[in-house]
Amino acid sequence: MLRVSESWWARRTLFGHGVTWAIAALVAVGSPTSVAQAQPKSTLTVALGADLVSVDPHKLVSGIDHSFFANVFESLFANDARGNLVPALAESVSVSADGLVHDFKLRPNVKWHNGDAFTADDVRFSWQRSIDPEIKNPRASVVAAKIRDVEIVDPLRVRLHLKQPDASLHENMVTYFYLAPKKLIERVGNDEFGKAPVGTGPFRFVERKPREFTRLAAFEGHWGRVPKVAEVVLKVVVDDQTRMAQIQTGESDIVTSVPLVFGSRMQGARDFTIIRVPSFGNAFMVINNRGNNPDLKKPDVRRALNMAINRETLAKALTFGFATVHESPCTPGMIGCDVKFTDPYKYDPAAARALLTKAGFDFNRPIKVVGPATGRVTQGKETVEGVAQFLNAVGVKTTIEILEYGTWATTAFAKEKNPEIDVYLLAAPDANRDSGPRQLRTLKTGEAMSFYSDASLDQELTKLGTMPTLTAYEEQSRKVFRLIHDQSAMIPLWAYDSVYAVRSNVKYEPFRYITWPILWYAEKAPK
Amino acid sequence: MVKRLGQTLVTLLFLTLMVFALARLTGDPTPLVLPTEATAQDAQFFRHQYGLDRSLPVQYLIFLGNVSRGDFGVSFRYREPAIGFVMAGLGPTLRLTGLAMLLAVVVGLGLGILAAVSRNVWIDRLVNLYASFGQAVPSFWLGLMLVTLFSINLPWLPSSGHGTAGHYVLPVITLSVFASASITRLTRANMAEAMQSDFVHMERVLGLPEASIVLRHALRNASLPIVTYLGLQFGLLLGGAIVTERVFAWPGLGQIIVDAILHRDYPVIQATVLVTAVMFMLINLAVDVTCMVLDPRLRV
Repeated sequence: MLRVSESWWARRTLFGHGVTWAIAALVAVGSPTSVAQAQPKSTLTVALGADLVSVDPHKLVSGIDHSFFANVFESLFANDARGNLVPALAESVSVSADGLVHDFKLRPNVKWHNGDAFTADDVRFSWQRSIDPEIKNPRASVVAAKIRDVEIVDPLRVRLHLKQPDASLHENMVTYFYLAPKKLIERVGNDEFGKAPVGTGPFRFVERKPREFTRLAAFEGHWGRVPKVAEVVLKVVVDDQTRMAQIQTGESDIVTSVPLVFGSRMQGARDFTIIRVPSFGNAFMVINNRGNNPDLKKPDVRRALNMAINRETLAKALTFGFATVHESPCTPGMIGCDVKFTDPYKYDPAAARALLTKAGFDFNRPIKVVGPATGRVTQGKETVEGVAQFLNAVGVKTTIEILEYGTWATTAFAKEKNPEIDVYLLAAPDANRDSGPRQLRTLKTGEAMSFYSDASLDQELTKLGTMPTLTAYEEQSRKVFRLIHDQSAMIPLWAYDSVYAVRSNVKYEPFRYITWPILWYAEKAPK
Repeated sequence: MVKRLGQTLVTLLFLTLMVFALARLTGDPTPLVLPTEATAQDAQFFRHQYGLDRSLPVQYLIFLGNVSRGDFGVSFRYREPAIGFVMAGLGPTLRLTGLAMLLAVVVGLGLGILAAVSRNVWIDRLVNLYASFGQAVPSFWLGLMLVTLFSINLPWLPSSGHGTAGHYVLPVITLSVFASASITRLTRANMAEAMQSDFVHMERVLGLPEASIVLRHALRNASLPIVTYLGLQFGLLLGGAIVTERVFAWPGLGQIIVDAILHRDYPVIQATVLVTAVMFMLINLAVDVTCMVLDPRLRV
């Protein structure tokens, strides 16, 4: 393991002066202000694996944007460190018996970063802005589009009237209903707001240099979560190895999206710690029962495929243990995922082979297994190959096709699914404890990423979106999971852990199930 | 000159067609631009909004008309003018490639001349070894090794990023090694030939100082193919910068184009490639002019 000495910065600075003068002769161009030079003592530098796409919460496109939004903006609800739902800008909520009216009492004395008071007007405005065609919010369908009206009862009370009951509304609000300031946006306009966003979160926006960094400062006027560091720099370091060099040299205090192989190799380092927390980053294989292979229409064949795969071995080899293996269609921790199956998919190649034979499986016809190249999808190619090898071991012939990420995504979203594809590896993370939208998109007939079709499952998935209470939603989720399991509609594999590297002088425990860094409680001691 | 300008315009027109077609060959951008939560209506709205639901010839004509007015469209992903991205990345990339070129020329010419005047002795062999290494070593590997050595083991330089002069050292070295190795080889070969020529023998007989013979006369005669090659090398450096920029988290055009291709962001792909191509054409023009200055026979 490579070590970095205590005097690293001192020596670097001394050398840096020499280099500066040597290079200055060559660099006859102006240099922007250095991130390192401008950092005060308690700056926390976090290396991200990608740049932010948007800093306007109603134009959220990429998952990486949550690294910004979750620290600068807030919703009516938030998650605690264990991933549980807790009130944020809502103080309390009551829901009508029919599930159509959600009455929110708002938190008093909340300020926007520009000093304006947060009121019910902002909630109504945020909803209107979220569904405004001009804004083109690509995630409006999750929360905002389900709201029929936002009624302002008084400055600290709003009633949300839904088009139909949605028990997972509060859960989804955390990431899909960030609130924005009415007065400010009406005054400066959308474009200016997009350049200098203002939220109510623990950090306020300071500056952004695309593809370099975004700088945030602690918001001292926060209603309850005043950060323990003065500043945060979200630094963009795309290359995996370079990102790991950042933590080794101490240039970054926290590194997110640590590649699993590095996480495995670098455990036990002296100057930093590798931390893993469970996430909802699911990897699973969908089965095409609408394609050319008639065998895949048989539940017994699909069950046998599930029994042929040793998930534990595969996960250990491919994820270096940084994954939670699961045989159920949901990741443990999700709503309704406490469901117990009487007949779990136990790895048993002999029984799998016998079940295939009993079901009249055509062993001469190869099954086409398709997945993405390794890169943006963790171990995509290796997972496809591993699954194919386990299928081969029970006598199932396979052909493999590895697709470039764009082609893989396009194939998954194609309106008419390729009938030649039999089994397709999907990596579809859930943003929160509600896996309903993902189950719908990947298993309901005709949905965006679905290769599967079953009328009874369609019916239960549709019902899921209309449950009036969380209890009913949980029970319906269990019913859906049982049905998916009984039909063997998919091949569940695992959920990848979120892996972070954290310098020894930084106190930071990532939130469970949240795949972006929430930083208000991070502490940094002087070196 | 008019003929040359006409050729340039035809080349540019052909280039716009190629860029337009190649960008679209990458496939439909919708699933990569919109999140998985987006509905079918969202996807339809997106295609309509950016004119992707029109026929390709119509799309091309609109693109051509817009480009002629300097409008490269709006990034699908970032929803900002594509040309803004290019201009933001152009400065860092030009600074990186410019410095790498400068270093490559200094090292390449120096080592090439040194090897040519010391043929078949240990200096020559050492220079040949460097030239072979420089052309064989992959730049991403070299970059990572330099980071390991000079940022982690000997913590002297920043491992990545952009801003201070210190940030330039490792990426400039990484990017310049291949070019300097090529220039070394070419310089050595041309200088060796020039040093064997009659006019060099004559100058020696006349008693001119060796330094003057080498640097003023032999080098001038050997410089024509070297200058032409430098123009090509600069284009290669722009291409090579993609890998170097990624390794060193350098906010240049390389990262922009890779990101745009991965997300099928047509407007950004088109703007980046066209601007880079125009730059390459200008460099070639500069090379032609330099060659004319160096060799009066070419002015005819």
